[in-house]
Amino acid sequence: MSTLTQVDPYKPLALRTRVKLSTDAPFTPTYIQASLTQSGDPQGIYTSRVKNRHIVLENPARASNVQKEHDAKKGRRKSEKKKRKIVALGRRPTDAKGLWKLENGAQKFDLFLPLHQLWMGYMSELLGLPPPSSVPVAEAMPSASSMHPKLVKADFHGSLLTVRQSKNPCLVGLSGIVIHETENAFKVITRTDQLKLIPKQNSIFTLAVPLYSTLLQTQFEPVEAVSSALSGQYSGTVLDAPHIAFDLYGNQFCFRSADRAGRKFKAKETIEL
Amino acid sequence: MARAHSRVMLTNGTLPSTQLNQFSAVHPFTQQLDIVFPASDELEKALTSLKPTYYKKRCTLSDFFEFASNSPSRNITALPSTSECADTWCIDPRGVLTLCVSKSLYEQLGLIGKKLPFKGCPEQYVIRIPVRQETESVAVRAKQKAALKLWDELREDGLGKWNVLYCQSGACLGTSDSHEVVIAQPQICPSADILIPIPALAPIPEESTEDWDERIGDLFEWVGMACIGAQRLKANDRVNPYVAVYEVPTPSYIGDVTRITWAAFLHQSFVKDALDTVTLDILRLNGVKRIDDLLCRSYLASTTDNHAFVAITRQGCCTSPVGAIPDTSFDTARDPPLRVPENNAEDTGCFILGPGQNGNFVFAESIGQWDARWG
Repeated sequence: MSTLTQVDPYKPLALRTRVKLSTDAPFTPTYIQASLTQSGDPQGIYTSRVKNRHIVLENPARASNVQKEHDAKKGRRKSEKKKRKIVALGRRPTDAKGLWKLENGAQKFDLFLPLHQLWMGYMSELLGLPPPSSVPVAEAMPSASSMHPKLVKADFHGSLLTVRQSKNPCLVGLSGIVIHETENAFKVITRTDQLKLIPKQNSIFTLAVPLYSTLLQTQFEPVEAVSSALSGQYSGTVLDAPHIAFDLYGNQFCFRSADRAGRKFKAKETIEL
Repeated sequence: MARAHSRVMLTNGTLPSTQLNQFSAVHPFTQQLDIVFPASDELEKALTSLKPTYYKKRCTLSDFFEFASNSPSRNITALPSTSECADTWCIDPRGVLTLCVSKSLYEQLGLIGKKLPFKGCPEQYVIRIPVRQETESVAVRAKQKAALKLWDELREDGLGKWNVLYCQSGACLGTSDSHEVVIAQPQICPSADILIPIPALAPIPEESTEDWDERIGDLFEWVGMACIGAQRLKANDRVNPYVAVYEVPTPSYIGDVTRITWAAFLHQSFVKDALDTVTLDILRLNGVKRIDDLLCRSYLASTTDNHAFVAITRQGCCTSPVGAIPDTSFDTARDPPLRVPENNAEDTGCFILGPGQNGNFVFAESIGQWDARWG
């Protein structure tokens, strides 16, 4: 700062001059350059030391640590809330909305037989089962190693499960069509029209898969054959036809069916209950 | 010699005794009976005239269960003759089929049972099914039959059908295609010139408990050695002291000893008959029970020999899930104490009976570690 004559910016302007404000010739740079009477290069000084510089006029209020933490927490909560929106509905809202409740007259085993037929068709397609009566029963068995990885990722809604072995003796022998699979349990409807919830833990289930494909083989079947096939289909389950029985270890299966599709199952040392 | 963890209980008293009377009913499964006594022709004749009979059948458990439920006699005692103790069963005279199964089989059968509370043994469960049809509902019955059928199917590949030994009170049937009748023959071993102790079966007033225990222990030791025909009891035995040191309890005399052994599946009625022959007066008890045995009086009641005594040792079937049924009122609501069926288990009872109508007796019972009979 020069100790010689200082320019007083608050000095009123001489009355004679009229300030004309325009964007082509802004006032501030012109005024400052005009005031720098002592230096030899007022424009250079303006450009290098004045233009686009900020001068702190007084102490601004600094944000305290508490305030900073509060802001950070708020920011985290907001991001978490955003993430949470993508997750599925919890137990309470599901129950409140009655999403998985069957209506009064809907608890009938026969009503779920068409679902079971659909599942058999899905299995036939998934496992590539041979058409019926093309190969005798003894030779029709496909290789187990190719079926296991597909079955592990398959959907079991509509399948017929039977409890073969369980730590709880009351569950042994329960059998029914799976109408809902959750992370820890199967909800099945038994042949006696009872809705049962079977926990997956501590149980070994038997899963029956048809040996032959249940899908209609050609699109051009005559109408009578189709209608008779359809009416015959809906009365039977997978156990009424030649089928393959698999053992399903419930302890290793406690995942939601959607999660299971992408999961890699590792071999475990022991499968004791 | 007692195994580690085995427990022995000793009682003494005078005849007649409820313990003796109920002895055969409390222990339904007996696999061996040894009777040792100073030689007496009439007792030997009386005992060998008893003919214990049992039946043998090879069938599945479901078939035998059907047979037992439909049989007119209410009193079938059955046990499979198997050395495998992991999954076994028995039917006791109360009419209850008791299964003792391992964990994996229990989880497959689907019947509710009780876990054996013993530590150190493999995990096993006990399931009880009443044999009579009327006691259970139709659905429960169907479930029980399905479970038995499943067990038979699981056995098909491995051990196959059961070899069942059974006895039933009532009419004796002859051999047929379905079963085989077996009459257990006694093994009679006379031994001459044996040192026989004169037992004093009541405690002497000044005697301390330890002395009493030691004296009676020596007596039971003699009985055990007589049961196996040990050479140490011979009067002329001069064994090298480095091999064995044994002295017969004093006072003793030299005489002949007879041992009669039945080793078979023995029904409780036979055990009762043997005890009766030794202790009670059969004529007085039952009037005209045995016309041809008019000369056969109770041995001990009528003997004039003050040194006479009889030692009866009973070995139970250790592979049966049911050991003793203490409550002999045949109340099936109260379950008998639990135990682990094991080949090397202990279940022995020994009576030493003294002479006279109201003679003294001592009774020692020994059970193994995994038996809840005494808690």
